[in-house]
Amino acid sequence: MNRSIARRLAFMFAAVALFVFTLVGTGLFLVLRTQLELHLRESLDDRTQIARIIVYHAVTPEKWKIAREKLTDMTPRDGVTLYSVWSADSSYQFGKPVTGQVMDRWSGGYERVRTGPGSENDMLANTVTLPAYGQRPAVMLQVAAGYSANARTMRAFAFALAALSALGSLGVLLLSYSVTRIGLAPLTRLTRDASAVSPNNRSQRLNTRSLPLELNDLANSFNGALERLDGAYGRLESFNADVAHELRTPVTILIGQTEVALTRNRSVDDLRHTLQSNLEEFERMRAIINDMLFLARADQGERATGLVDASLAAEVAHTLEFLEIPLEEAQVRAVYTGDALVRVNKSLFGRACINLLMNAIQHCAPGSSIMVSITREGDQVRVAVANPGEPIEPAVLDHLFDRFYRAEVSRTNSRENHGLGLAIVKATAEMHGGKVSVTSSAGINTFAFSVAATGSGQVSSTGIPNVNAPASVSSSASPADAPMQPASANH
Amino acid sequence: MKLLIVEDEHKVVDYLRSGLTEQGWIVDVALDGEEGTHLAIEFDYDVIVLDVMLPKRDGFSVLKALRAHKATPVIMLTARDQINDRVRGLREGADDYLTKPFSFLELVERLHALARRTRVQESTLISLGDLYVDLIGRRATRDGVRLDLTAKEFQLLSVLARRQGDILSKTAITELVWDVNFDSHTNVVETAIKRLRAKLDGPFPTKLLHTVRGMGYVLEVREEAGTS
Repeated sequence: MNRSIARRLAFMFAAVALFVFTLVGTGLFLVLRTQLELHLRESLDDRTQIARIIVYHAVTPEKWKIAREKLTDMTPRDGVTLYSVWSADSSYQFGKPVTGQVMDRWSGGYERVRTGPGSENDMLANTVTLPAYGQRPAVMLQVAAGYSANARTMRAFAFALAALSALGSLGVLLLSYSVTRIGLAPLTRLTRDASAVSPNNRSQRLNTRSLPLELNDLANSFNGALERLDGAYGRLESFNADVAHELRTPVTILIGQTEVALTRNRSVDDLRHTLQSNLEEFERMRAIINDMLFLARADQGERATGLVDASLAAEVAHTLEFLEIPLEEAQVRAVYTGDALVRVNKSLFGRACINLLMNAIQHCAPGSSIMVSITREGDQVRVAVANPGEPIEPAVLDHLFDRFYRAEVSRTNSRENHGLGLAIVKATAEMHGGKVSVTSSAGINTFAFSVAATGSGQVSSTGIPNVNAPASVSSSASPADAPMQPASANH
Repeated sequence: MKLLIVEDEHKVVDYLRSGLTEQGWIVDVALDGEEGTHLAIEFDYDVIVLDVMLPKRDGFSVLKALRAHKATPVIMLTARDQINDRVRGLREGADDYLTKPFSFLELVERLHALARRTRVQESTLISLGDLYVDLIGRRATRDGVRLDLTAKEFQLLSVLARRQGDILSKTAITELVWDVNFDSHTNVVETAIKRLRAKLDGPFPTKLLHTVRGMGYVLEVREEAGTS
C-alpha cells in the first residue's frame, strides 16, 4: 500500500533492464549458435573434400591400404573428427559410421546424430557416395565432426550472458533507486512546505518557482485549494466577528437600560417602557440568531425540504401583493414576466423574493419601475429583479451577497435590515441547487437568483403575457386599494 | 383548558406557567422526561408542551410512550434548529414544533391553534363596542357609519376582531392576512396598521386598535382613553 515511489520505480526499471538484457542476450546467443554451426559445417566440408580425394584415388588394394593409413593419420585422437568408409566389398572398410538418434537432417547428406546423452555428444555427419572406379567398388564415405567444442562455447556464453544480465539488472536497480531519490527531492521539499501550513499560518503557500513541471500542477492546485480554504476560513472568522458585533449592540442596550432602570425607583410606566424596549432588542437578537442558523444550515450544504410544485409567477405575484404598501410608499411600480413550474419551498422562495424586491425598492427613485423576470436557463430557472439605480462599483458587486455586507454605511440603522437579506437570498438559491448573480450596467441593477428546474416543466415561456396578474389574484381588491398595483407586462 | 409543560429549564417553566395561567390555562409542570411521561399518560390534557432535551428521558421517547396510549395534541420545543429534529418530531406524532428562541406570543398562537381544532364555527358578525364587522357582507361599521376599507384592511380588521383581546404578533398578522409565514423584516404590518387605525379610530373618540410595543397589536375596548 504505502510503497515508496523510488523503490517501485527502481524495481520497474530493473525489470525493464532484465527484459531488455534477456532479449539482447537471446539474440546474441542465436546468432552465435548459427555462426558456430556454419563454421562446423565448413570445416566438415573441407575434411570431406580431402577424404573424398584420398578415397577416390584408392583404385587398387595397395592404394586403398595407403589411403587407410592416411585416413588413420588424419583422425585426431580426441575423436572430434571421425572418418568411416564402407562398401559391399568387406575389404573396403574403414572405421565405423556414427550411430545414434538422428536429431536433424539437411540436404546434401548432413545429419546431426546424438551419440550419447546431451548435446556435447552430438556429431555433424556428412555421408557421400563414391562411384566405383578401377578395382575399387562403390563406397560410402562418412565424415563426422563433434559438436562438443560448440556446445562448450555456447554453454560458457549463455552462462556469461545470464550472469551479466543479472548483474546489469541489479546495477540498474541500485542506480535507478538513487537516481529516483534525487529526482523526487522536490517532492520532499513540497511535503515540508505543505506540512508547514496550519490555521495560524494560513497565508503560507507552496513555492512553485523551483518545482519541476510535473509537480507544478499539483502544487498549483494545492495552492488553489489553500486559497479557497483560506477564503472560507477568513469569511468564517469575519462572520463570527460580525455576529459578535451585531449581537453586541443589542446586548449593550439591554444591559445599559436595565441597569439605568434599576438604579432608581421608577414608575410602573417607566419600567414598562424599559421592558418594551428590552423586548424589541430581544426580538432583534432572535431574528439575527434565526437567520444565522438558517445560513449555517445552508453552509453545511443542506437542501431545501418541503418542496412543492409551484408556479413562480404566482409566487412572485403573491410577494408583490404583500409588498404593495412598501411599493406604494416608494412610489415604484413592479411588473413581472415569464413563468415556470418548479419544485420549491414556497416560504424560502417567497422570502428570497421579498428580500430582493425590498432591496430594489430601497434603491430606486420614485416613479421608476422594477422588472421581475422569470426565465428558464438550461436546467435552472432564474428570477431576476431589475431596477434603475446608481451604478454599483465592480468591487462592491462581488460582496453584495456576503453576510452583513452593507454597501452604504449610512443605512445601517434600519431596524428591518440587519445586513443578511441578500445572504439569505444566496443561501436559498444554494438550498435549491441554484446560484445568485448581480450585474450593474446602463443604469439598471439586476439582482438574480436561480433554482434547479426540477419541476414538471415550464408553464408559459418568457414573452407570453402573464395570466396570473396580481390584479386577478387579489380579485377582491378595489382600484382605490392599490394605486400601484403591479401588473404583468407584455413583451 | 388544561395544559402540561414538560421542560427542565426553571426560568422557562416559571414564565410559561405565569404567562399561560394569566391567559386562562390550567398549567401542570413536569421537570423531567419520566415525570412528564407519567403525568401525560395518567391525566387528560388539552395540549402538552414538550421539550426535546430533557433529563432522564428525552422528548422523543416521552412522545413515543404517550402516543402508545393517547392522542393528546403535543407541541415540541427544540433548541437544535435542525430539520432532522422537526421531521422526527412530526413523524413520531407531534402536532407542531417551535424552535428556541421562540416568543411567548408565538407559543400562545400555536396553543390556540391546536386547541381550536375542535372548536365550533365562529359567528359571522363580530361586535366590539360600537364596531360591527360583517364577515359575510365584508363590511365594517362604527357608530353606524360604514368604514371605507380596502380588501386587505378589511381582512386585517377581521383577523384582529376575531381574536379581540388577544395580542397578535406581527408574524401572526402577516400569516393570517397575507399568507406569508416567515419574518419578512419589512414594515408592511406597521404601515397597514397605521392606515387601518386612521380609518378605524381616527374619526372616533374611543380607540380600539392598540399597539403593544415589542409584541404586536390588539383590538379591544380599554377603560381609559387609548395611550398608544
